[in-house]
Amino acid sequence: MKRQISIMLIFCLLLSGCGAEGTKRGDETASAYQIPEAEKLVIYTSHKEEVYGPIIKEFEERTGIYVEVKQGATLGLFDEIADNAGNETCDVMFGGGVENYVAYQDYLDAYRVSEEDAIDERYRTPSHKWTAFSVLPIVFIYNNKLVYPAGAPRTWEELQTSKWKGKVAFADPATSGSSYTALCTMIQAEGRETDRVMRDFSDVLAGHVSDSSGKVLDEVNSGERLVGITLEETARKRISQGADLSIIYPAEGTSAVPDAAAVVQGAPHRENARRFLDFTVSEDVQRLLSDDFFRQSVRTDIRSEKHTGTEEDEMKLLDYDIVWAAECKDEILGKWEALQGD
Amino acid sequence: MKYLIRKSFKRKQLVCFLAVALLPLLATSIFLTAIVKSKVESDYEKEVERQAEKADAALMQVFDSLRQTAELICENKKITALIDETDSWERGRAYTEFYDETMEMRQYAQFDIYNRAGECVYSTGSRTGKRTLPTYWGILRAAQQTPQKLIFLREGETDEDGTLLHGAKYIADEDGAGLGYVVVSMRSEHFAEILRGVLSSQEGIAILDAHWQTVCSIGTAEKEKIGTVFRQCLLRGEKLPAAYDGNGVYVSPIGETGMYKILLRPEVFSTDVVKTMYTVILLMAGVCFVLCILMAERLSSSLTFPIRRMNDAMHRVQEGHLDTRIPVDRKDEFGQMSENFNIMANKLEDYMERQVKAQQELNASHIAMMQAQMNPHFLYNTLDTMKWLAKANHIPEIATMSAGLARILRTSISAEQFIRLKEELDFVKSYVEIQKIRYSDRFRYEISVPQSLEACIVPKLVVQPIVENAIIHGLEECEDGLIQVTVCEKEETLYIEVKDNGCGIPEDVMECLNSKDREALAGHIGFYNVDTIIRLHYGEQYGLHVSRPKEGGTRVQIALPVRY
Repeated sequence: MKRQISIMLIFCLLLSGCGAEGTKRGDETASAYQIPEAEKLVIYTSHKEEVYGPIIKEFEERTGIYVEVKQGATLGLFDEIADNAGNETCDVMFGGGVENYVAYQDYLDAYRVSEEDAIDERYRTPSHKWTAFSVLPIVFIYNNKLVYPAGAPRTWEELQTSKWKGKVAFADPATSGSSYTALCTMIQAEGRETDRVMRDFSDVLAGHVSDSSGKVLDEVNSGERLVGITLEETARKRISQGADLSIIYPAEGTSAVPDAAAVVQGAPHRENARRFLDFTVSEDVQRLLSDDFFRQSVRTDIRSEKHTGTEEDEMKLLDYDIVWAAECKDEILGKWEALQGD
Repeated sequence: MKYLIRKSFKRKQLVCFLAVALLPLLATSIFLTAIVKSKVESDYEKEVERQAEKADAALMQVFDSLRQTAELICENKKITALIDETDSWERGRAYTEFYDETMEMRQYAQFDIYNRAGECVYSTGSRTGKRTLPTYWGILRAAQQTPQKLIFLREGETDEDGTLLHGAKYIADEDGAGLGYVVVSMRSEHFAEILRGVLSSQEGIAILDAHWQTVCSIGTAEKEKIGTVFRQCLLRGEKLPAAYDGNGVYVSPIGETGMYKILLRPEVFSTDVVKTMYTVILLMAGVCFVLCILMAERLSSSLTFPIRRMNDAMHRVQEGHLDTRIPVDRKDEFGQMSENFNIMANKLEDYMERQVKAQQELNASHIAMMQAQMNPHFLYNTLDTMKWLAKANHIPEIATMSAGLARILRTSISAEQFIRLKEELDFVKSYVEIQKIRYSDRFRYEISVPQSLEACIVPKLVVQPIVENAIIHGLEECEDGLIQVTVCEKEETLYIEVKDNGCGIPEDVMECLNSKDREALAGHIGFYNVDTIIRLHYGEQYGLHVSRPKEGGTRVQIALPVRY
């Protein structure tokens, strides 16, 4: 008897509980506003929102495709793609250095973008596993108030002389990817013995490394250091915000490791993913890169119009060996650590 | 459970009480709650509908007016002709026109005019400095693509102006050649102005573009980021939320703009209110429950007390206390029942008393009867006295006879059914002594019994009737009779043989005796009785056997088991 009563009670409670969510609103509209699978796209990106936001917004507006974005660190996202291989979770990986794409190419789908011919040959890959998005050269910066243009360092070699001892801002290559690229560029540019280059440069730093690449700009801007080594993009952005800095392209040449985008293998929305890849290297996006994002386009038909001002030299590129840099990473960082310990 | 309930009247009653008190209460409160809820909710939904329409109307009106204004500007040659004008006088004229055209709408948006290159040339905004918009990208490109109408696009980056929504219309001359763009920029204060009076402070609205990206959030929607949540649900194909953080979520498109709005309103029944309602119901149910228990206790004890009292009284009567009575303290059915019980007990007691009396009377008459019987001891003592008198007076026959008679009397009146063989034989001897005197010693008597068998147990009076028969029938006409009683044991069987040397038993009688023919034995009751006694006690293989030995006379053999 009591059991029956309690069953009735529960039943009544359930009934009234259902009534609370019944006749209206959000949940009801689900079917009305459902987005068909064919209009979806899932993008993993390691870009900052200020970069991917406008591009994805424009893509949505032009194509009518709804994009779901997952933002994270490059390696973390690639690990996730590898872990979920075959699960159809992600369509496009957007952002992150090309070396990562090389490492994870087994999880990527080859796609030749429609405007590949417009892309600089140096940034193409025969396997079409990835498509370069922008170029991020390593540059020197100096504080205009404290360094005369004539006295500013022009070459990698110069930065290893005692003239700049204690005056160079450089981020820890163990934590900053661009800083590691800069170190490798220096080694490759010199043509000298690796150990010697590192020892000399380490002496110049005199035990001081910045915590992050952002700090490099802070230190140079505040006058704590006179010269810094960083990415062109970061430097340009800071200058556009009013920092009194100048950019120098090293005379021996610099590395310009492109970042890239790729279709993930087993992408659930492959057609849309390909359209997105086409879009990333389209003239409009590439022009926006160079106009608004302080990045260099991978297209040959777009040259940065903002390459004016104090930097006199045309950028010269080294034949930077990505594979070597990737393979020797542990060894070089080990040596670096040992040198810093001295 | 059921057993427990059935076992006790009180519990049965409690359950009934609960059913009667609680069920209607719960049913009523739940249905009432549901009715009130659904009524209030439907009213609430209508209210929401009205509010949504109001918001729609406000937004649509502004969008329409903006479109009209943009079109007017595009058609106003006094402005369009002066887009690339650098002369400040001319520009001043253009500005006057521009401000006139936008007079009414400036509170809802900022108006700018961009030239073909995407440079801002006229603006109603207060910000100075050079502003450009890419013509290959975003709003200007979209306007260029669809030149005939005012295109609205969400502003992705939050620029210094805080623009949330851009509208742009391409300005073309008669030949269709582009002159520039009219750009409408709406900031959150503009939306707040449009929707003023539509929302209360507890409500919020989020305006989303065609891609479900949040354009602007006002009121409570600002904090909740409902647009982001909503878009994520849509993209992942999840169920869209009906409620969010205690707010009802209502979605609808904004007219024909392709945009959506999400209205956030506090739930008409917040979880707290519903909880309180149910708590009250449960409390009431609890009070009912306690009342039920109290009432059931009271009522059932007023019912069960007399029943239990009667039950106890009945038990006492069963145990024999017939004087048990129940006090009659009420006039209802229980009172009547108690009275009836008392009457019944009275009658039972009366009956029992009468029964006892009758039994006592019966016993008294029995005693009297017994008393009336001759006291055998008196007879015995008298015989003893006679014996001594005879001895004193030297009449030995009388002494012997009275002693023998006394012994016979004693044996025959003893209640025991079995006696020792020796006693039986003594009894026979006494009998023979008396008979010898009667028959003036016309016969002799010999007993031979082994010492070992004297202690055997035999039924009383099995030998005497046989000896009596031998004396009366066998030695009737004999002058020198001999009666021999011989006892022997063979194979666990005791044989007592009574032999006489008389006339011998007639052939037909002997056959009758050996055949155990009851009818035929009618005249020989002594034989028959002895035989029957033995067979009844020991079984068919024992009993009497009569034979006539060659030398004459009769021989009767009594077969018995040897028992001690």
